[in-house]
Amino acid sequence: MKKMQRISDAEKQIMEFIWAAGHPVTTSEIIRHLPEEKSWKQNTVVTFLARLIEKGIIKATRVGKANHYEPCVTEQEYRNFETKQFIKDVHRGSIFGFISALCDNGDLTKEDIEAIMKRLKER
Amino acid sequence: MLINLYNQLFVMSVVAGGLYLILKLLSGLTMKCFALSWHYYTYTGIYMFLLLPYHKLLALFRLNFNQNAGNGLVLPTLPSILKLPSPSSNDLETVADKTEGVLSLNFDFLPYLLMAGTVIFIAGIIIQNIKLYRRIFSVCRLADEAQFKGILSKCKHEIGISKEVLLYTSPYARTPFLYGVLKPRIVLPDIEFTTEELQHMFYHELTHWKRHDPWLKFLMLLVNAIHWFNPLAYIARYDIERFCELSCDENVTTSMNTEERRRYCELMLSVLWNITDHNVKLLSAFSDKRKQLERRIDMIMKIEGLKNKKWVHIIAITIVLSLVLTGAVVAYAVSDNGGQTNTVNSGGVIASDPALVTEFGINASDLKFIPAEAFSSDKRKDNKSYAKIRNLDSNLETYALIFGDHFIAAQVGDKLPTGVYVNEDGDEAYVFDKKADGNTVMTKYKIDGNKYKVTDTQKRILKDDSKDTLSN
Repeated sequence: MKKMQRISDAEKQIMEFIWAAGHPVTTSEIIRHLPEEKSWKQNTVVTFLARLIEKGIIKATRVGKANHYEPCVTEQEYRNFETKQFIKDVHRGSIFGFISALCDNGDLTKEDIEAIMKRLKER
Repeated sequence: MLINLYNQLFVMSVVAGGLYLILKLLSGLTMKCFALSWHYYTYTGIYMFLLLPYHKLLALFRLNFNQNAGNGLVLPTLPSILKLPSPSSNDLETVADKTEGVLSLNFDFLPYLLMAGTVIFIAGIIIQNIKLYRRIFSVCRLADEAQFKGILSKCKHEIGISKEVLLYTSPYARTPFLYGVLKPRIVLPDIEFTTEELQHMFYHELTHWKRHDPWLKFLMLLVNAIHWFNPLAYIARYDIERFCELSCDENVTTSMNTEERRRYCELMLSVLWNITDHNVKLLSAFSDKRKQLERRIDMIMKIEGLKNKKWVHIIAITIVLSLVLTGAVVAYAVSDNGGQTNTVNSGGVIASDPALVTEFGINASDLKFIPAEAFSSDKRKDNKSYAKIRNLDSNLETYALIFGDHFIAAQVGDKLPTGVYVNEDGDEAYVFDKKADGNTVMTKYKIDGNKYKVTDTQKRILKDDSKDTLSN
């Protein structure tokens, strides 16, 4: 699978609608359902959608004249990915930035931690 | 100037690296006996050797001593010394004209290279942090729940912090962390915590702030940027960061009972469990990180009153002081032998550059600079500053003319024609070298600015009565 890429805030708004819809959606549906304060033109939305396709987040199928978009990754999958990125950022920040994290997992595995937890309980 | 600065930095880099290795060697013993905070602050202190020239303090002491003992060093008036014999004088016989190379290897670019490295390092850190700041706060939400605020202000009050600490939550964060140097911000994972867990987390992060850890971290990054070429600067910084966390745990848990400590450890482990992937490693079942974590837990559970006993304090302080003193003396000795920079009590800094003497070819091997003597400088009638240098073997004294931040040997002995004479503008030097056959070879040099570049050399033989010429 293609390596997942982070999506921008604007792209995320579109994705939130696509995820919530639960079925393939068209560009006009997306524009109709966008929050009122966002008055994006069709071109803008199409550009965002093209970028999302490029990033492997959605795929498009042509039905008649309109493109139907559906997600390739679930919201949860994307959230997990974002979380992992964030953890990486914090880790990097604790080396090169001004972050002091309570813990840093480095290259630990869940098994390592469970073993240590067991040791602690046995004390 | 820049090259001198980097010479000093090299000395400091080597000395601090050496001290770090000594501490590392002793760590088996010190970890058993001393508190983790001791390790944190001692390592940090050693790290500061990279930035602060502690050894300069010794020079101050010596200067004072010299001022007390050496008041008799009044420069004699030597009006004739700087009178240059005319090179076109008839009793000079031209032997050869040749141009000498400046130095076989030119390291002039090195300081610039090192400085460029520092600039790149700092730029990298700035970019990283701007990106990080944007990233973090685009997915964080200011937490204003009364529950959080109540516990936070209670913890702040207990630790003694009055500064406003902003609290954020983020669905993406899996571990609580403290962010910022000027403005403390605590970011919490967006999950349910018990009051006790929140307290533990706040204590830990606020203790970091109370101990000015973010500032120390910032300072160490800066030092690392300056000493980017020294691998030990990186290794030591990681070590210090580890000690920072360990000693912070120590501070937080000292007053806890065993049960509270156990829960503190459990909190840490469950936070870690949350952020860790499930994939099982195939290679090392016991990673370095795991050992570190085990040690961290062991230490939290073991922290005891013993480490606060008086004798432990005394030994701990003795070790620190002897390390600092050793470092200072070594750095002082190294930079002194190199004869790189000496302070003149008239206020300037002179670079007693032995390369200059070698270049001018006067008794290079026996001209030893005694800084105590070289410090004695004087402004004479001609409104120029002189420094006095004594040759250790022959006891002859040399007067050096000071140009800005460097000096040039101007005369050796009282009447001996051997020596270097510099014209008033400081752009020409005449070196008189007495040979075994009684003849004196005079070499004329052009001086190029502060670099002592020999641009033109003329060699002439002076007849034996040349000293009369000189004193005229």
